[in-house]
Amino acid sequence: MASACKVKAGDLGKIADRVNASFGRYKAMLMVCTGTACVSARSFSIRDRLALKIAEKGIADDYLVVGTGCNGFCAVGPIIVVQPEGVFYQRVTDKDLDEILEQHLVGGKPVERLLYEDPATGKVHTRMDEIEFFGKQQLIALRNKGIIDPENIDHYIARGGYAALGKVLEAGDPEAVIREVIDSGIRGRGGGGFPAGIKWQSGRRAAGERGEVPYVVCNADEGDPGAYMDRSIIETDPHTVLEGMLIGAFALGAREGFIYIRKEYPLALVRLEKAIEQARSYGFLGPDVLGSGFAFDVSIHRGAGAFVCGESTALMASMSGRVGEPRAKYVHNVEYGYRDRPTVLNNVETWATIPVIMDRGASWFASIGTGDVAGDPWAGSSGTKAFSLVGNIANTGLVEVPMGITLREIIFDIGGGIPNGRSFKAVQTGGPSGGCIPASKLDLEIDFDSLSEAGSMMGSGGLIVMDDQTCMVDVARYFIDFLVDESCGKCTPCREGLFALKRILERICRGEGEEGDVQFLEELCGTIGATSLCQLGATAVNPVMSTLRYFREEYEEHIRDHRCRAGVCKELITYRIVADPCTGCLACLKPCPTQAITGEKKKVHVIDEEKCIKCGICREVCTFDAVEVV
Amino acid sequence: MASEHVARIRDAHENLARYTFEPAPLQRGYSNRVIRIDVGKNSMEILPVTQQMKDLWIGGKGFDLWLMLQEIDSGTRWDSPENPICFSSGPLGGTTSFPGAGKTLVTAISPLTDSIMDCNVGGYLGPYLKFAGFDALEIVGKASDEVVVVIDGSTGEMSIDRAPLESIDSHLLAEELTEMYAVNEHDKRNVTVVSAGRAADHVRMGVLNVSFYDWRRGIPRFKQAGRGGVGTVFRDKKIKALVVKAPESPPPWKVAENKVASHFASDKLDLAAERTDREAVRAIVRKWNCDPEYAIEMMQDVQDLERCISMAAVDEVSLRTGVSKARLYHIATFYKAFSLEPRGETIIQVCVGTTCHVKGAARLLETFERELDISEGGTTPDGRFSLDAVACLGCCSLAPVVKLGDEVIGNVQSKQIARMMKKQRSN
Ligand SMILES: Cc1cc2nc3c(=O)[nH]c(=O)nc-3n(C[C@H](O)[C@H](O)[C@H](O)COP(=O)(O)O)c2cc1C
Ligand code: SF4
Ligand code: FES
Ligand code: FES
Repeated sequence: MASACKVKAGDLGKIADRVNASFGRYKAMLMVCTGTACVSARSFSIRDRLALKIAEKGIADDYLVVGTGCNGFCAVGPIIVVQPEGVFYQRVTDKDLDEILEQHLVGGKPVERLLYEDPATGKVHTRMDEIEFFGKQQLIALRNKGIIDPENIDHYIARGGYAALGKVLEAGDPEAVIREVIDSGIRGRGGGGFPAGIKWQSGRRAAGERGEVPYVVCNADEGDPGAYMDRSIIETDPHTVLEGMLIGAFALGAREGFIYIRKEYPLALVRLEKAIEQARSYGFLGPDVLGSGFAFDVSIHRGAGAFVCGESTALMASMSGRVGEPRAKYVHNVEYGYRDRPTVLNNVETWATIPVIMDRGASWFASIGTGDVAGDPWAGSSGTKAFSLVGNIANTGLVEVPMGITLREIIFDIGGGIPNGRSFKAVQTGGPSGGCIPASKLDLEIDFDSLSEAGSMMGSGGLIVMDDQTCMVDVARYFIDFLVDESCGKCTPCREGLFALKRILERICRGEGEEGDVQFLEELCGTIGATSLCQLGATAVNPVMSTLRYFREEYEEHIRDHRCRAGVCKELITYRIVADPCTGCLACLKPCPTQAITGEKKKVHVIDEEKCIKCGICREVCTFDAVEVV
Repeated sequence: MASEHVARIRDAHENLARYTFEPAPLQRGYSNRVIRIDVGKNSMEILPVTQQMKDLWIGGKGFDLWLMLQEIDSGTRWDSPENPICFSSGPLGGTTSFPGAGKTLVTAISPLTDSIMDCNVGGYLGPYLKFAGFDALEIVGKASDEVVVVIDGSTGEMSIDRAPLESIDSHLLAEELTEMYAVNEHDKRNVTVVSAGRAADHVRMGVLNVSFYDWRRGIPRFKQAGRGGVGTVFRDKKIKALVVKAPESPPPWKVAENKVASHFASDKLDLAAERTDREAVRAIVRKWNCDPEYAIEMMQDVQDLERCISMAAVDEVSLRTGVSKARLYHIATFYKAFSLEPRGETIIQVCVGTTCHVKGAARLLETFERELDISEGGTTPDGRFSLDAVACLGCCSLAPVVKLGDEVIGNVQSKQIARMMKKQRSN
């Protein structure tokens, strides 16, 4: 990194040119993914060893190793992408490095066996952009994923980073920034989908009327289980979040900003801290941002593991060192938020998108997505949205797609469909506040409003795909169970109502459901939804309501026939060994924790139902698919 | 540490009586002693608490009335020297288990009705008396000059001093005496001052002001024993003040052996408190500039350091940030990141987030429970492992995910767990 001298707006181009020129001197750059998923597969060691080997070989002047944030295709990590050709290596281990070095870097021939093979077509793809997974994506918030080193501010600048901020500060017109954000139509990516520009406008107005300095806050709590976009954005490109906050702060007249981030995200936390430090040393944060006289700085607050702290008022309580209990929202945060000052809270992805909007213009952004947002941000959903595409799907990972894309395109084109010969059953969106969408709605063009109409939510962007081995009653029970735990307990409908839901759902899953349970569930959901204090309780009923709406027959089967067609609800299933495929290999005998399986070599084994605790290990170890669940 | 003003009034004290007493262990809420002070004769006497007293009168108002019964007859008037002022808290006094367990019951013959009255007061008087070694206190007689009565549980001394220079007004008097009897600022929390004030010299409805030290504001504040004019009786005995000081650490006792109580207040808590490195906790608080807004961050660091939030740590954080202990405990029990009992050396987190759930995390969790022989949330008896179910570790693409200490492991199958734990154990 360059010296700690303060950078002026005019210098940004020079830094970018210098860094790009230095990159240009290399024959190739090896982008090693160091996102959390790949790190769990030892990608730090891969990065370091690769650099060491290249140095040892004396070719360090020709090849640069860069540790990047999450590439997106986490399912096949650890990933190395060799740029500029874009050769995509997957599932790389330490042992493969010599081969990459000798055969590819020196010999010029990609290592075939590390390339990605499309499981559906069997085709081997050399280059990253040939892979279906990346095909339909359009990157805005994640524009720098896999391309830059998140721990090096120069990389961000080289990709045009902080130029938007420079432009905004030079123009010096906060109102114009707000107008631009409103015109772009961008709606909050954190769940609610409230137009960001309108929020900023109210914040600026409230601050002006009361003569107070407002705050900007970034919500990086991401408590939604099954979603990790925010973590990835911070891990891959922390500076874009800072730049977005800087632009927002300038538009609002804020001098202090806060980022509320989960402590469970250690890598993101470290990268964020580093980014803030570097931005300070460059003078992008501090008393005189880019030499413009505008002063702004950012500090971090760490969350301590409570889903409800993602809720805006609870988040601010938590930032004040109190328990995260929401308050009624007839007083808005934009008027009385953190420390009772006007406060604008936006999600990580929202902030990360702002610099691009300022750079490329509102009308460009508005042209992507659904509806015509030119006159009214509520009229559609503009731009792109990042989703974590996970669950029972071939290509899991992080994707960013334009609003209005259909679920089918995401799940079958990008995601590669359902693996293991199973069939699609539902996709869960919006986390615990969202719902399950069935196959009949696969052609739904997703945006904020269409998902709400379908009884779900955009939420923060988790897309959890479920195959036919998923029990929808169990999924509803699971979410309610989660929410009972996470309810802060301040208001009765949520605290007691969810608990009542949980008891009924558990009963149904045990096969003890009764006639009338379904109607009672509906009634209870109505009351909880209508009377809870905060959105946690109000939307908590969505998982139940949506499964009741689309999968009612499964509830009825559980109640009437005591049957779980997906084979999930333990009390309703038995494990059995099918005679035909069983080869009598003895493999399942030892792992069974209760010695419930008896058998001799080459003879069909039998499970003793009395002893079986339905742990499913036998099914896992059987290589002949002989264990079935009925 | 006493200021010049306080030193001057202390020097003017003339000792009239001094006794020493041994500390008494608490047994099931009783110290089994009563202290009787006669300010007319300048004498003091320790009386036993009999089993019959406990069975019939339990404590609090019951003890007070029993003691009164010994002292008075039909001829005793409110201003007779024999009219005793009795103070007592019950067997639960000084525990934090129940609301109101800190109350002190006060009785005397009322100047307003000329019959026995009772009133109760907050603050820490009753509990401090108990910690000093007495279930109840009675004061009889009438002093000839203004006196201050002191019961000091930290030194085991009781004294009656002629005290001419102290203020009469409670708000000044409590400040003076709190300062006089505390050895340092921190120690002020252990002092409670009972006084009546000037008005009680003139009216029959004088109240008793019972001070407790509000260490966040740095001043003593008051609770009142108000009913029936007990303050007037107090002044009639020419007592300026009664000072009770608790020993630095309250003697431990259990109210009763009880399954629920032992679950919530297990020995592990005491052990954790003893082990706490107070200096390290202070360093953490300093690192966050003693800023109450960062109380959660401080507690996270404490949790990382000690693997739990001990009572001693809460004490330190509270003292140095000014955040009340109640709020810190609220935080410690609200957020998942904290535990009041020590967690294991290695924490095994089984993700049960949505993706992992769909991919069979529930079965993984059960397998871990079986393998470790503890249930979710528990810690192995040897303190090596704790098992947690967490919602989403942010690696959903690798579901189901397990985190062993700092190591994230993806695509876990139940059948691997036995081997995984074997490796961990041998480490
Ligand atoms: C129970 C609950 C949990 C939430 N969790 C999050 C979260 O983890 N991350 C987030 O960005 N927003 C979360 N939100 C939404 C925030 O309250 C808020 O609307 C959002 O952060 C505003 O930013 P945006 O307008 O950019 O979306 C949550 C809301 C509720 C009711
Ligand atoms: S709805 Fe639930 S989480 Fe929200 S305030 Fe009420 S109890 Fe708390
Ligand atoms: S972490 Fe490497 S691809 Fe996501
Ligand atoms: S749901 Fe398990 S890691 Fe996200």
